[in-house]
Amino acid sequence: MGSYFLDNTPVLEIEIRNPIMNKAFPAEGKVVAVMDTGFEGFLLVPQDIFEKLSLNQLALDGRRLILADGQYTQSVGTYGEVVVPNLGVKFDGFIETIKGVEEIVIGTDLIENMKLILDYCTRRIEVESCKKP
Amino acid sequence: MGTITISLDDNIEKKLRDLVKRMHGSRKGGLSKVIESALENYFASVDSPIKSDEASFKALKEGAVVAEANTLEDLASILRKIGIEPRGIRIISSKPIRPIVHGGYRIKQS
Repeated sequence: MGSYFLDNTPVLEIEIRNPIMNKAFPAEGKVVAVMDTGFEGFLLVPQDIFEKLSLNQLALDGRRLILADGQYTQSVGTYGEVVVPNLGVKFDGFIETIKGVEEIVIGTDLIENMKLILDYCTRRIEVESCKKP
Repeated sequence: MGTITISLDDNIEKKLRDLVKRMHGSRKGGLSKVIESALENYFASVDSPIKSDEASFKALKEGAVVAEANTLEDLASILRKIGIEPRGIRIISSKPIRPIVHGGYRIKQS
């Protein structure tokens, strides 16, 4: 399956890797990530996952995220890899975290690599990679 | 038509004059044509946007580039091969991160 609606939210099953520190999350299997076209980043993860991936042991860059209410918050991150097992593809990009976030969020910097059809009528999601595996 | 006076390294000047002679002989304006063509190519390469699949990564340790590759996996292999301790490594991409982006509706202020 790989991608489906969880309630009304489109989700994608992924693996997250930090090749530099040779870490992966989850250690086995896949994890569900929410696809949010309102998020302009690549991948946002909770702080505990960021630490499990040892991304916090690399030098971090910070940036500001504009929240839905117009407020700003500061994120920190570095580069990592997202694997989409069902598509047989992987993408490198900026993985960031902020305090208090509880879910894994895929943003447009990652989604731009995929063809994504959300069919709410039949509750089906079609995902294809722009690049061939 | 503008006129610019520039200084060149002797070696580059010689190469330039040899190229002009080869391409335009002793005709007037040959030097300007070669310079114009070279600059147009340079501007095109500087202005062309980086495609997402062309991103490359560099690993920096204490400010110096210690490895460079097209993917993070390749970068990691190089670091392991040359025996660089990965902790504290800074990774930069040819496609730099934007300093401010929208966070979307899933993110709430803690």
